[in-house]
Amino acid sequence: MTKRTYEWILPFLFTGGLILTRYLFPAKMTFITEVALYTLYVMGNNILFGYLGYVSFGQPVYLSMGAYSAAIYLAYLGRNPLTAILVAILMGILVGILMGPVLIRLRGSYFTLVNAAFCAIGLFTVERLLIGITRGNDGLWFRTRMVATPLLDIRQPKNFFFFAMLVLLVIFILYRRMDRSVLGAAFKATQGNERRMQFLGYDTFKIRWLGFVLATVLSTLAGSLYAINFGFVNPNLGENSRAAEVIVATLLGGSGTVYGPFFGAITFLGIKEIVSQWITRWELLVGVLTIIVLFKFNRGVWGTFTDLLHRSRKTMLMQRKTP
Amino acid sequence: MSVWLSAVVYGLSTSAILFLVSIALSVGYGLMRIVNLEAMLYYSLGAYLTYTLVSSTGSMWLGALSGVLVGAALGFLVETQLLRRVYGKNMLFSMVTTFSVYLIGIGLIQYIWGLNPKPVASPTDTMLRFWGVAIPLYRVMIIGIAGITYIGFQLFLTRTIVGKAIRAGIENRDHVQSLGINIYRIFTLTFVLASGLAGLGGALNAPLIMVGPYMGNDMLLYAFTTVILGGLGSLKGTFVSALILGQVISIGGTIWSPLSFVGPFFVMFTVLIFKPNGLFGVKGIAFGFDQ
Amino acid sequence: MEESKTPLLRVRNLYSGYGNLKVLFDITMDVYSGEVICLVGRNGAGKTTLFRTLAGFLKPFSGEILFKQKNVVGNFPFEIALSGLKYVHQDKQVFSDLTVRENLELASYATKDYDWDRVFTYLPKLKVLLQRKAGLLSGGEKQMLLIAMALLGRPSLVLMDEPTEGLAPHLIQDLTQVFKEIRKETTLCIVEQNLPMVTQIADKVYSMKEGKIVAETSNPEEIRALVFEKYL
Ligand SMILES: Nc1ncnc2c1ncn2[C@@H]1O[C@H](COP(=O)(O)OP(=O)(O)OP(=O)(O)O)[C@@H](O)[C@H]1O
Ligand SMILES: [Mg+2]
Repeated sequence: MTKRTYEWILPFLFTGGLILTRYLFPAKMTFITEVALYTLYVMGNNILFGYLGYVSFGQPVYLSMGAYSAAIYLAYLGRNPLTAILVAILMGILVGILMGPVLIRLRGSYFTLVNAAFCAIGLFTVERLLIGITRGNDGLWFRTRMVATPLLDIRQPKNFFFFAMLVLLVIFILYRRMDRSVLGAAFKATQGNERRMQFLGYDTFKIRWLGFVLATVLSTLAGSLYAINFGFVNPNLGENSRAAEVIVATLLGGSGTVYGPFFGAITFLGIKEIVSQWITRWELLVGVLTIIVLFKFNRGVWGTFTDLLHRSRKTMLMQRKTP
Repeated sequence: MSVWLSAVVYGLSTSAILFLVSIALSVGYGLMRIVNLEAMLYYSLGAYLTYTLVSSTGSMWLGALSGVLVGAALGFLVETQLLRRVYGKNMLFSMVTTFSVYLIGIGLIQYIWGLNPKPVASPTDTMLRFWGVAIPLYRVMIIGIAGITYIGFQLFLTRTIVGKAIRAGIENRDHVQSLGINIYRIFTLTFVLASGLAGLGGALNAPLIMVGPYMGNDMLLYAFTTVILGGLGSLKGTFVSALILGQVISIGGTIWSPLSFVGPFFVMFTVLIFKPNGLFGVKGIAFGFDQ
Repeated sequence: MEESKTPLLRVRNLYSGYGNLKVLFDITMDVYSGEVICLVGRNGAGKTTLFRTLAGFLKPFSGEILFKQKNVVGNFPFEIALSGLKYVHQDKQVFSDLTVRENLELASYATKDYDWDRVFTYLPKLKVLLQRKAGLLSGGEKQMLLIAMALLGRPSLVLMDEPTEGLAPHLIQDLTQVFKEIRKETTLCIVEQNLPMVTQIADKVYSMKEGKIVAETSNPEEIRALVFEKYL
């Protein structure tokens, strides 16, 4: 198998694997659906963290923004969930374009903290400020207002599962293309040597801006899917205290890689699923995991796997050369 | 009139807490070039220890003392065992590391003290009267303690040789090392001091709030806002911005209650648009990750 | 002639750089007690990188650095400074928030050498500036202060990175005289582009290009040629 085909097969392999798992363990369907949605969310953070080198302590706000734009659309304006997803994506693009220039300008810790503050404001907005529209902590319910979508009625959890797989597959393919294109290289280069990029004539500001928009869109997309899957939203989704989770998941999978977010999501949610049978709060676990990953295992699951693969391929080539 | 006077005093006491807790962040940036998030853990622990000691011995001041000591001791452990490995690395390392320490601490707090918020009795219910306005003595005491701390810290920085080394280190760590000064010992000392003050902040705040496992989260945001508004790395900036934000929270909240929560952020955003390095920020430090 | 057999600073096959970026290649050099060495080379040749590696701020990829016959690779910068190898950075940054006196106090605190009068014999001008905020000093005065701080602790070797950069010609002349005096007390290794200064004080010149030492000479005529080459 050549390297090219092997790479083309991976997105199908991974989504296929999830679908297979769903049939092997039918009781775990909700869990697998969540893995797919969480992967999208982690992918967004991975663009910021892994590719551009920004740490955001406010990612939940973008997730929540997607969820609430879909929910508000479905609860008050329309009934088609697919349109709601589109609304959330447009919202992501809009927020990315508008907020980008302000946030991207702030480097390093300023970016992190201003995002955290932004997240707090977002939480405050849905919890208190717009309580008339969002119903605050009671949550906004809209399940009964959704109409059936053509071909696949995604109101049914069974069908939603396949829909989520389809979205995941498409995003995998697009994400891989981004990584292999000039854009992916440019993202990483702005992190490594911004000056040099500028000398080469790249507008690094625009590159980072675009990265920010993509990250935001992935988060709002994930948020809208969460909303539709549950049939309601509440402010919990956008809590500040959950900001660390997505960073841990990114680190766990292997930051700055195409499939790292997928493995990060599986590992993180898997551990959480197992551990939550014994303890209800997992801050302790998240903290310990992060420190271990950061100091001992900083390539993450997928990063370590590809490293091993490269090494074994190299030794194979060497063996072939020496008769 | 009476509303405004008490609003100003309440604001000052808020500023006092903000200042005590934010010092850890401010010197973390300024001297060590790290993001020191686990100061929020010492803040929470200070409050919880005060809760325990007030309920067992009835003495708030014993609680404050143990808050300071435990904060300082843990700060020593974390600095020497963990942070030594992240100095000089990309700032995201320290940010993620210290946040993890904070999360672990929250987990432990939940095991020890449980999930339910605890009320702490104020050490004194005496009310002072100024121009007919009743002001709780305890608030005035907090303001006094923070004021003394600020003056003490300033004297330490301007009068002692170690303090001067800290100021020199904030300006240029490499040059301090080139003189032959063990910068790591200076880091440890500063870190221990700042952690102790965060513990003190938590202890003093305990009677004013409900002591809960997530009290550090809210404080984290405000402390950050304080440090960013003041300018990363500037102690004077932290002081001034704590003064401003205390009033924004208190007076803003008197005008329209949601302002007490979002007011500080709006002030910060507005200032950042015009001054991306904050009020007293040093230009180089803003672009933190590249050192 | 016995002591000239073992160099004060001995560098062998040194490779260094930043992160993955290799900047220095196979640097080998010797500095003997009492010498004045000048290092010349164009912008970006790697002179500062070499000094930062010697002073302990950069960890070399490979190679050895022996100072007073002891291996100093892996030592902290402050340990190297205390062992008698002082480094004056290129950026001419004094602690601008502190006074001149406080700057000197810090240097004395580190080395336990409070003999300021000795230092003032070389740099008498500093004496009247003690109360001044260091940030308000002129470029030349800042350089004087930095030299004074480096001399406290009686170092055996002082590395000086472009001390004349941005200074007016008459100040450079003053500085040349200062170096002539200082060399009685300590060995000097200076990154310098200024031809008159180099020809007056250098016993040996190393020329660097693209991270390598490309020439080394003690012959005055050749020194002249080497420094000229830099401008061509
Ligand atoms: N912090 C750094 N990170 C990465 N590369 C660096 C860094 N500092 C310097 N370099 C690179 O190392 C090379 C050598 O730089 P160095 O500063 O040692 O040159 P120099 O000879 O001192 O030049 P100058 O005369 O301008 O001071 C240059 O190509 C430079 O771009
Ligand atoms: Mg240089």
